[in-house]
Amino acid sequence: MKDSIQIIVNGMAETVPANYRIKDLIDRFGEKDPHLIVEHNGRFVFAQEYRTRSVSSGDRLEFINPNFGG
Amino acid sequence: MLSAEEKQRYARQMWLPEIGEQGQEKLAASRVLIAGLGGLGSLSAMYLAAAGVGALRIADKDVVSLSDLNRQILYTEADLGRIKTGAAAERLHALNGSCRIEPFQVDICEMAAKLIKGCDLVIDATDNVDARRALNRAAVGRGIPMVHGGIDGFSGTVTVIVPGKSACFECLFPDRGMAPGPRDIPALGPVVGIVASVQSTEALKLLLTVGTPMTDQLLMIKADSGDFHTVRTRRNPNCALCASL
Repeated sequence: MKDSIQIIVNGMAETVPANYRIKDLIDRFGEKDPHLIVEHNGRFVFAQEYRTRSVSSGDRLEFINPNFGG
Repeated sequence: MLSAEEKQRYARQMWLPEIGEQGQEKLAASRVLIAGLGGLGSLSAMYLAAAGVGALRIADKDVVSLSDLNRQILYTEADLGRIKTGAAAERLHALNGSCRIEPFQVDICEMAAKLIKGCDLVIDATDNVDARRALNRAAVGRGIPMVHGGIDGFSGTVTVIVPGKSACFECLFPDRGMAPGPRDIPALGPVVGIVASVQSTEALKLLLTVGTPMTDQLLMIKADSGDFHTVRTRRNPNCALCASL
């Protein structure tokens, strides 16, 4: 099993350890917004899944800041 | 029964087979809450009044200020300093005298449950998380569909919430007691217009029960790159508000 994998985060290639979790990525990117939208392979990720959901080679993730203005 | 004048007035949209005379009568029998009369609420209120929605309940506590006029197209320079609900009611009445306007100059956070009572649908055109949360709670509590829209600079978001059937605001943005402090959010008129236009379209679809509502999806608009992108969502099994519905 590989020690590291390649994923795409916000359109850019990233090399991360295998079994890296969403929470690890949020920390790595310094995302602080409590309402951050995390999209994992086109699907919304609930906040309660951040600590348990891991990423796999080739996965695509987007960190999106929500828009709450009117 | 539509009058001859109404048939003429709404002819272009009644040509749509999904609307016709029956659909137009449905709109005339509908009441929509426009929560927030800023940029988003301005445009949604005008489109829904123009489309022949029977009653619009409009809510906002603010007065019109100069920095509103780059995007809040309900108002003119003559309205500066006026209560928004008063100025909006006049403008909407001038646009369509048959649309009953019910103005409420109130704090939406405090009055959400009362405002929503008797409405068929809610347009969330508020400008902060607390108000959005209060409206969502009220909408889910009464089982009333809500069309959420938000903007931030060149970006915008739209989703449709049908309580008990699709993800609600709390499903996606649970209250974790970490709300960011208030900040002035940049706003560009046409971007606000895109979001409000999508919201108005979704509102009419829901009122008419035509098409496929944008439930369980977040439309993410990035006007700076021209990117329209959909994030698929679903109901949150841990939602403190709607998981038990």
